[in-house]
Amino acid sequence: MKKKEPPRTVHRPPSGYISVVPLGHIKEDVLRVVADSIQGVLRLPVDVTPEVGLPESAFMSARNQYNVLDLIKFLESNHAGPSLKVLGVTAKDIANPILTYVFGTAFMDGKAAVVSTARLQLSVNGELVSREQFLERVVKAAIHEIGHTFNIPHCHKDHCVMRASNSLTELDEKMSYLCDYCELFLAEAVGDALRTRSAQTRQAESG
Amino acid sequence: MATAETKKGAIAGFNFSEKECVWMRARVVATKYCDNAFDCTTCAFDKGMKKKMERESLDAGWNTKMFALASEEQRCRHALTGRAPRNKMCARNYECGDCPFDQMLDDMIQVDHTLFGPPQYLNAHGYLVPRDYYIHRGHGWARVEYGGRVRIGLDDFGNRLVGTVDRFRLPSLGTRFKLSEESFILSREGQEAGVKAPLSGVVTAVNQKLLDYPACAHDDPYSAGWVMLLDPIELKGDLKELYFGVDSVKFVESEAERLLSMITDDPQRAAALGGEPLPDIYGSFKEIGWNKLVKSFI
Ligand SMILES: [Zn+2]
Ligand SMILES: [Zn+2]
Repeated sequence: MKKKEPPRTVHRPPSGYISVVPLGHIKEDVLRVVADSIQGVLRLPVDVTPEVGLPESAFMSARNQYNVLDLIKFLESNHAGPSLKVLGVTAKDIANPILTYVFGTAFMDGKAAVVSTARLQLSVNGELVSREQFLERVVKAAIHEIGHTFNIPHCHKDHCVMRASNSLTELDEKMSYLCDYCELFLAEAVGDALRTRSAQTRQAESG
Repeated sequence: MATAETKKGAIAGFNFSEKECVWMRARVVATKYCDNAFDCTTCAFDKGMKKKMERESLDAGWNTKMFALASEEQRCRHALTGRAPRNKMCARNYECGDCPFDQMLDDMIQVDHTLFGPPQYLNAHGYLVPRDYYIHRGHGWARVEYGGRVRIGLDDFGNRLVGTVDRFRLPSLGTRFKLSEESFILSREGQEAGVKAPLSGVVTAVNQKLLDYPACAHDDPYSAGWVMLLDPIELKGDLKELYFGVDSVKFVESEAERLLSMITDDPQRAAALGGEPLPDIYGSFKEIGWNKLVKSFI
């Protein structure tokens, strides 16, 4: 018998469950940590796509911010590909017509979500936070929004990542894991999404 | 199909009892050895048994039998395959046909199966050794997964050794470790153990669930109890330093023997008794001492 066997890839998954799409330039370490943490926590295979420019139509010049709802629509119609879900990551400040800023946004059961790193660099007092703390915040925001795209509602259990977080303090207080209940929601939603996708594929093949 | 062939071939050579079908281990059938690499999702026998189970649960014959035979320990049938945490008990007298947990797991298996697959266990003197995972001599495990990312945790032996851990200290995202450098730290009653990194890499994810529920690692060391993901730096070279497959089993067996020799004068005889190892070795033999145990094994 051979001394060491190579890693086997019997369960090699089809690529494209979740795609992380950099909207504009995003530092390499941020992208890696976001992609790996989503895969780590959700146990779904994650790909990172090449950088995509932000659509000018989403820019609200009066507020010097991007409209996150437009960014989500842009991703849904242009960059969804075969993946179940798409997460746009941008360093630009984002907002929606009503809220003056958001860390991220997703539609429940939607295909795409967007998070922004713009407001995650500073502490409540306006000082620069450590790289680790910054990365942790981005990861929490990213997993939280992807969770919503899998139809997981806000949660109140312990430090579950699906807790609502409207402030940096709330974001810092929660953790990056899914509680047992949210894990069940996720498993169910992923099962449904995969069945829908394979039904669509079959339909496309026969039609 | 080529993959099925590889899977069938791959379990040859392990000790015979390891090939007991889950239905045999659950003592529902007398003799049945697995010929499908413990992949119940594609096993015709499993499908047949499930159908039979549904039929027979109508007249209560099947589950009465399951109930009687497995009397002292009603473990969920999914715990036997490693799909559910190993301490998951059956609360429904094995009426899996209408068990929501069973249904949920079947859904999850479908999902999980297409991703990384549930761990399939080998047995090393009663300690669980997962197939497809690499084991470091300090009992950290490493599993290469999608995208070349590597998931890390502490193996079953290590978890049983330290027992009821009350706190995990996880490294920050972005931390860089060299092979065998102390990476994550677990503590119990104020005493600490640093687990060595099974390979060199940068931390790109951590399991913060362990901060709220440290028992996760002990209850399910190879799935829910994962500790971190590393973005490897020298994967190929590092993996050569680790145990895999049969070598992992041999390694953990030798560790179990070494541990027994600390506890008893007659380790050979003790080893032959078999059975499931204690869940909390430190707590059961406090006279050995935390530092000695940790230094000797972790
Ligand atoms: Zn939310
Ligand atoms: Zn939750």
